[in-house]
Amino acid sequence: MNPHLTRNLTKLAIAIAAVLTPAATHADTFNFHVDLNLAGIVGTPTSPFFLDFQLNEGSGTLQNSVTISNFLFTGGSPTGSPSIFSDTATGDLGSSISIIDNPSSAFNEIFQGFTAGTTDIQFDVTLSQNVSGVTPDGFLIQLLDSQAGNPVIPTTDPNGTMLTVPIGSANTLADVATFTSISPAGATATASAVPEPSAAVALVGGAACLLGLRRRRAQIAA
Amino acid sequence: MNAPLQLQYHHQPFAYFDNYAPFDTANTVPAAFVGGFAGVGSAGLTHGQNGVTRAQNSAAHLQDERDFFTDVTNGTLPAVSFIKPVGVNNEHPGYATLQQGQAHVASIIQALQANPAVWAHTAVIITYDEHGGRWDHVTPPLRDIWGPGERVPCIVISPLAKKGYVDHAQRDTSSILSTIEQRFGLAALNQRDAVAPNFFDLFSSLDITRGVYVVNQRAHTITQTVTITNRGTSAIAGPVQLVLDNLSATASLTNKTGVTANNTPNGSPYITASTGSIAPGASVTVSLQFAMPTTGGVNYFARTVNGTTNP
Repeated sequence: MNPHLTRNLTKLAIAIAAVLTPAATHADTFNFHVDLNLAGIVGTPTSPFFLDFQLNEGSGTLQNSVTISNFLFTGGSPTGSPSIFSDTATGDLGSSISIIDNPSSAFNEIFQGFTAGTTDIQFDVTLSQNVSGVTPDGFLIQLLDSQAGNPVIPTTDPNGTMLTVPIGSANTLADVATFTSISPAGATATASAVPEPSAAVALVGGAACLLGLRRRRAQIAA
Repeated sequence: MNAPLQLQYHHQPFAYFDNYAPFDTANTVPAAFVGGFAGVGSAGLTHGQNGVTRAQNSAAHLQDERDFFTDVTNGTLPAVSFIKPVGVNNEHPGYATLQQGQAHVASIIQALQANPAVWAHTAVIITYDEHGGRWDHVTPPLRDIWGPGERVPCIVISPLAKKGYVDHAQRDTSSILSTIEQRFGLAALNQRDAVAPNFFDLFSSLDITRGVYVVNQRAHTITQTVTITNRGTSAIAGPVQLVLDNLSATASLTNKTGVTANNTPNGSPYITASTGSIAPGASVTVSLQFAMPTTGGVNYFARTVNGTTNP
C-alpha cells in the first residue's frame, strides 16, 4: 500500500477515535443487565408467572424514564399481552418496554405473563438519573403469580421485589438491591454491567488505530 | 474593577468593635476576647492569650473565605465559622443573582460533605439579613423597636438535622447566637440572645431514610420501607413513633397505630417503629402501607417522637 495513504489512514483513525472517545465518558443514564434465574420455581403450583416492572415517583417532581430491552427467554417465551397501569408505559416483553414517571402518572406498573417452562429471563435496563427528593424515585421488578388478582410472589425484600433501584444522580451496581423469592422459593435476580455502546465504539476506534500503526511499522520495516 | 466583587467592609461585624480594629498594633486585647483558634490564618494565637494586639486579633478572626475551604479540607475548622459572601455572591437584589449566590452556598455544602469526618458533626445554618423586598402576606410580629421584621428564609443543613422537616416556631437571627452559646456552655451577650429560642428542635440523632414506593395496582396499595437509625452516642428511649405530617390529602396510611394528639402538629398519622429503645448505631425498619391515592403521589414530612405510647 502507498505509505502516504497508510499514514493518512492512521491519522484518520486516530482522529476518529479522538472525536468519539470523549462522548463515552459522559453517560447520563444508568445501564445494567439483569438475569432472573427462575429454574427453582418452574412447575410450582401457582405458575405460570408474570414479570412486573414499576417506575414510581418519589417525593419530588423531576421526571425519570426507563427502557427495558434485549429480552432473552430461556426455556419459554412471553405470553398474552401486557397489563398496563400507567399513562406512560408502553411496549411488551416481546420487544422492549418504556416507562416514564411524572406528576400526573406517579405510579407506573406494567406486567406480562411468560410460559410455565421459562427457566431464565435476561434483559438490559437503561435508567435516567434525576434525583427526586427525600423519597427517591424507584425502579423495581416483581414476580406475580397466576392466582386471582395476581398476588406478588413474596421475596426476601419486605416489599416483595426481586430488584429495587432507588434513583440517585450517579447510580452504580452497588445501589441495585436484589432479592430471592420465598414462596415459591428459588427465583434469584442478578444485576451486572453492560458494555456501553459508546465504549464499544471507542474500542473499535482504538483497534483501528492499532491496526494502522501495525501496518505502518510493517511498511517501514519493508 | 467590579465593585460587587469586593469585600463589603460594612457587612463585617468585626468592623464595629474596638478589640478587632484591623490597623491598631499599639493596643492589646483583654485576654477574654482572644478566641480559641484553629486552622490556617490563626497565627498560632491561643484562647485567653495575653499581649495580643487588636490588629492580630482582627487578622485571626476575619479571614479570607479561601482559608475556610482549606480548613474544611484539612479538618482544622474552628468550632464556629461565619461566612458572609462577597457582594456578587450575596443574592442582593439589584447587583447580584440568586443563581450565583445559591451556587456559592452549594459549593460550601459540597466542600463540607467532601470531608466525611468533618461533615458528620457539622450543621450549616443558611439565612438572610433581609427578605428581598417582596410582599409577605404574614404580618411581622412586634417584639421591640428592633423588630423583628418580615420573615426571612432559614435552612439548616446537617446530617444531624431532621430531614424534610419544616419548623414553624418563631425565631430570629439571635437564635443562631443562643444555639451556639447553649451548645458550648457560654454566657449570653445580653437579654436578647438570652431569651432567643435555640435551634435544638431541628436536630435529631434519629436519621430517617425512606425507601422507594412499591405499588400493587390490583389491590390499590402502596408500601414503603422506612429505616430509622440512631447516629447519636446514647440510646433513644422507646417507644419510637414515626409521625407523618402533611400527608397528601388523597393518600392515607392504612397501617397507622394512631394519630398524634399530644405532639403538635396533632391529627397526623403515626406508626410505632420500635417498642423498645434504639441503641447507638442501631436501626429499626418499619413498613408503611398507603391506600393508592386517587390522584397525584404520596408526600409527607417525617418526624419521630420517642418515649411515649400516646404521641
